[in-house]
Amino acid sequence: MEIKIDNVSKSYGSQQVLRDFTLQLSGVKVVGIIGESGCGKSTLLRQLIGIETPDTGTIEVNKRIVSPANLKNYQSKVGVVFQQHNLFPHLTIEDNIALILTKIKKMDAQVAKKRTAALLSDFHLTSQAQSLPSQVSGGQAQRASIVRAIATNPELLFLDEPTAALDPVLTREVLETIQNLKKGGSEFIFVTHEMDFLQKFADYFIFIDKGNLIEMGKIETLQQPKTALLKEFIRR
Amino acid sequence: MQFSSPKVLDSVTLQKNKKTFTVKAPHKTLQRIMAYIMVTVLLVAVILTATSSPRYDLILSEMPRLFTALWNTLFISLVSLLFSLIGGFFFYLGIKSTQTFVHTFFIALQEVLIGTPLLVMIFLVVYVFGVKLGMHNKLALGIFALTVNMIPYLSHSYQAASEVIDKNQYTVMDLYHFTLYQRYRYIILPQMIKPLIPAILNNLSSIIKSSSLLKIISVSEISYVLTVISNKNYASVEGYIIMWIMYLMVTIPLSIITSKLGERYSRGN
Repeated sequence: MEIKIDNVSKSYGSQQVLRDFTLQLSGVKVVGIIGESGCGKSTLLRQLIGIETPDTGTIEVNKRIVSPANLKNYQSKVGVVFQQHNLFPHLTIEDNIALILTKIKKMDAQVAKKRTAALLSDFHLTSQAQSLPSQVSGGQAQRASIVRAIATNPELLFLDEPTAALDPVLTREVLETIQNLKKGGSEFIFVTHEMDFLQKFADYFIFIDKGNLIEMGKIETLQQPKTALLKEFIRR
Repeated sequence: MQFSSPKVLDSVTLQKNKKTFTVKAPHKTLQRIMAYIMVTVLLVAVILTATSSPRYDLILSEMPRLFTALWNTLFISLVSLLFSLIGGFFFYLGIKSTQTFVHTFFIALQEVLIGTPLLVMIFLVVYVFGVKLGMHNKLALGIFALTVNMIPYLSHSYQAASEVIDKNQYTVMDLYHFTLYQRYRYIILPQMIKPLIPAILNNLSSIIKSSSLLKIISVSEISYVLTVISNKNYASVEGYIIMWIMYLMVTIPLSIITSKLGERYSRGN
């Protein structure tokens, strides 16, 4: 993936969440954004996805400028997994995925059905295909939302603390799924505040504190932090 | 200061001559039956004491006309409901619009419509717009007046029903760039239907009662027909009593269905 963030700032009312954020990355596959709660990592992810627009600065992902003008084109190339599964509650797990393929991506109904069935099988969700999101466990619902995100073959996947709303047992199921994504060669950017999660999946890390980029680098370099803030964060 | 919620008293303990008596409240079902009987007795008492020498037979002898009037009332109400469901949906979309002009226009229109008494609305539709447009079909104009009157209420019902959809679902729809049609067809309307049904039935009940005002433009619904029959027989009290019973015969079952559906919906949630 290629990411270019240039002088991005974002405020909510009088509270500035991102301050003149600048970074450039290329040739990495999995990036983890870490930091304390409220440090601005989810805000950064929302700017990268294009759900929100920065107050100042520009963002470029895989040579596409993320701006309201080309949002439809850009967002059709990415997949997103939120903290909550965000599946449509009145549709079955299968329909949640098939709807995106048939109605939004205009895929033929039969082809979409086959693709959905294959993906659900890959992610061990076949027996939950006809269940509503409320009838499956939180882990299964989150896995289904991962399936929905990758069903459209996105170039890049964004995961916003995908295990934050799950208990440890359900977290394990979801982590296994993310592990499979990594093995399958998917490129993704995720947000987390858990060091284990970061070290397990990321090739590259970005550490944020109070809306500022403090440190970034290959995951191996995390053992020798250059800044006191990251040192302290790791120690916790 | 702390307040505790009041407890339901299901028994009372009394002491007399050093003896203790516990009086238990009757079973809830029995209490309900007693309450219904009490209301029925009140209703019957009002009917029996309404006039000293009742002549209901004069009115009931025109039973076929009464049935036609009942049918007309139901027809007018159902058609008005159908049109106000459609109109109310577009009104709701107008209020939800992100365009300031469209949003403000519908908000202002809503205030005007809600503040207009139905009697005035019927008069305006029939004797102002109807005359200007050269339309003389009073039944159609009456239905139109009822529809316009109900549209803001149906719009409110859509608004309330749409609150079952949380903002995360909108985020996903935005992310996948659902069109307005796709949003409503596949995501929003299917989830709105369940909470909307009790509101629709409530509005139907309200339309049925409101339709009685169409008598001012001589549409032969329950109220008009009964006024004609009772005036002819000089039995206006009896006419109003029968009118009352006829409306209750329709609105009470509707109210029961509404409350059952409401219960089912809250259980489903």
